[in-house]
Amino acid sequence: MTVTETPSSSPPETTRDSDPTDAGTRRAPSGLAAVLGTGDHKSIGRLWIGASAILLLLTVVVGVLLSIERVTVDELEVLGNDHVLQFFSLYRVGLTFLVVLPLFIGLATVIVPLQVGASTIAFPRAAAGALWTWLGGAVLLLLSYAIDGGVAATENLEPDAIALGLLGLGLVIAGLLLASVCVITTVIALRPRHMSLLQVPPFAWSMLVAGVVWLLSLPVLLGGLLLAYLDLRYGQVLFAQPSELFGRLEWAFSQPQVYAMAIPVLGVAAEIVPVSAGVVQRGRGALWAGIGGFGILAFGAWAQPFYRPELVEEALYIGVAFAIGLPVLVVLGGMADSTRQARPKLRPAFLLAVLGLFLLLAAVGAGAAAVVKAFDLLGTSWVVGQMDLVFAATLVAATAAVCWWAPKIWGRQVPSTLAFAAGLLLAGGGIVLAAAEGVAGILDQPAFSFAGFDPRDGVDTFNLIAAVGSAVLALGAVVAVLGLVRVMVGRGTDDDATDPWGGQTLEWSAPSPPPPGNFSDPVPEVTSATPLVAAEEGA
Amino acid sequence: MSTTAEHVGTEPMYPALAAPPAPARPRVLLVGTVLGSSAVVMAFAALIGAYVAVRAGTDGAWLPDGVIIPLSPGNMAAVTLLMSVITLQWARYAIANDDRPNAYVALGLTLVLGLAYINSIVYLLTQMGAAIARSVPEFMIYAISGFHIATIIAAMVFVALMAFRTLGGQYSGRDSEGVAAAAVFWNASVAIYLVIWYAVYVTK
Repeated sequence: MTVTETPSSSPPETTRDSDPTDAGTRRAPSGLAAVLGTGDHKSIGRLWIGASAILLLLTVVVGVLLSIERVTVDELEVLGNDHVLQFFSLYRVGLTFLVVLPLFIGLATVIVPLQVGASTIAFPRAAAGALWTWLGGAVLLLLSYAIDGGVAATENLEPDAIALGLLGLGLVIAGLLLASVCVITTVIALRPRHMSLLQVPPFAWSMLVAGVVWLLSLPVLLGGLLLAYLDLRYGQVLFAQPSELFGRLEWAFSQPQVYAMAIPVLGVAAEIVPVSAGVVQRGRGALWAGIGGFGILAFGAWAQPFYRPELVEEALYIGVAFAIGLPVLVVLGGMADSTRQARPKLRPAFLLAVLGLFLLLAAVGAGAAAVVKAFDLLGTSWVVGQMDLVFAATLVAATAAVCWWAPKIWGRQVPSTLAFAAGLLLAGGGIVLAAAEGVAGILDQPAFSFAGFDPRDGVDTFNLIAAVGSAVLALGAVVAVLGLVRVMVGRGTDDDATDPWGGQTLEWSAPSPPPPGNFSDPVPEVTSATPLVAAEEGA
Repeated sequence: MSTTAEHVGTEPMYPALAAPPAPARPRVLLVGTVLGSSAVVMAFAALIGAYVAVRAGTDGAWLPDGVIIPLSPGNMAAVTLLMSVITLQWARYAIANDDRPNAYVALGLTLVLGLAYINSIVYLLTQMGAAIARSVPEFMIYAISGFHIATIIAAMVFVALMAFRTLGGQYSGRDSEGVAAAAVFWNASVAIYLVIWYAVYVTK
């Protein structure tokens, strides 16, 4: 046997990329080596979640500073002319690529292999590589902001620092793409033989859809970053105006692409609501079509108004902005049907999942209103409020997901009080922030100008309300991270941690936290979408 | 007890047939490679799309004075890559039939053709009379061509790795997934070049 040959004793196919935890006679590493060299998907997922939680704190502080800057529109008092766009871009880039996407990737890295009954994630070393690439890129990106760089250039900033920022963001996206490949491949290739895609759990399905959309749209952003980076290094012939740089990347944070990061919100709700009600979801096909349809409509690489400003008046753009509400309503209808069959238990995860879904619906509604020509809201802070509503929806849903799967991730439950408080503060802050920004937009406040424009009376008041909303959101983030720290550093395992909710899918048949290889007992045969319910009925 | 047949009277009685095996799932490496290749295709779609959009918005001549894109090197590069698709298919066929000598020759030829492609494109760029940082067309042609050369190099590394694994005995007629995965990435890279060839080198 050669060194490249698969040992005959290793399990076929699913673990060919060898799970380092099955190292046989090798001594398991400990301490820092165990963290840095891990190929265990649970450890990798925990690192994704922990790192994105820390970056969440940083990002919400930036958001609060931006909101305070906006309170007085006569002049820039806090950040200054050169830095206000920098902070604005950091807030958008940070929330999207350093917080929301990695948070869902982290959850998926832990949970999806368990949901499909796999002993490991596909390409475990690539999954670890993705984490470290993303983290390294995030550090470079933040460093570049610290030395007058970032991805929003003005004439007075340092070109080398901006190049560093572009490189950092490129690495961040590359890491996220690689992690997406691992998650998608796990769902497609590592699920049990008799489990069809319709029988895959809702969260895994939503991550499959989200991963595909990210995989097809984020490389377009990567291509743009590559051009910008090369241009910056070689003469600036393409982006002659440095201030245009962020405008060329803006599509990634605007509708419809902004909805791409919210695809897992639907999966989280579809996972938690029926189990909380103790029923098997009906109309699964429609629900799957809803999540898939939302993903298709959220693909936004084609919608880049910077290259074609007239795009926002075209039927396709307007049609997508309205049509994307339909899949959300379909999922919401499915959830309503489940709660009508039986009264759900009002746990934090259930309430936050539903709240996240409603916030997403509100964001979609705000997005549809933005493209109505008569309202004349495009380019105003209404669209900023709409983006913030999407961010709030994703953060609330992610909090729900962390509460729901904490037993599988850490072997312990998140304290209910902290979970409730964090979710409600995040949702409340997000709603106040978005509503105030929206009203300020109606009063002609531009989206990206923080001073030197001529708004209507009353804008100051709404900007003050927005600042309060931003502070509440930040407080929610702090409480959420506190809850996370509490569950991460806690000792022992909850007695009822294996299946505290009466789960229906395979991950709830694994011990909490799952051992190396995930399942101590043979994985139940999958003959339905809810194998644990089927097994119970069979027994 | 016999496992083949038992006789009752004169009529043979056969044991019930075992259930057919469940259909095999797509292979992990193949699925991952298809996904990765899709991402690379989308990145090139962004670059080529930006090139075409900027060119469409230009009044007058697109290429600056003194810059010409000779057709022959680009055509040769296209033919070279198309030949490499054939050699890679040859390698797959040979491995599937456990014909190792042919597989090694085909994989080696594919790598040589990859090198020949890089040589053609570098020659094209030197013959263009272009400078990377002088004008938008020159910059974008360099960016797209350079990124594609990097992609072909990545594909060559992939093929070389699979060739070494074949040498080591990992792939055979029983399992040739790795070579199939390398072929997917290679073919995607060739398809991308054909688009670049038409959009950048032919229509100017």
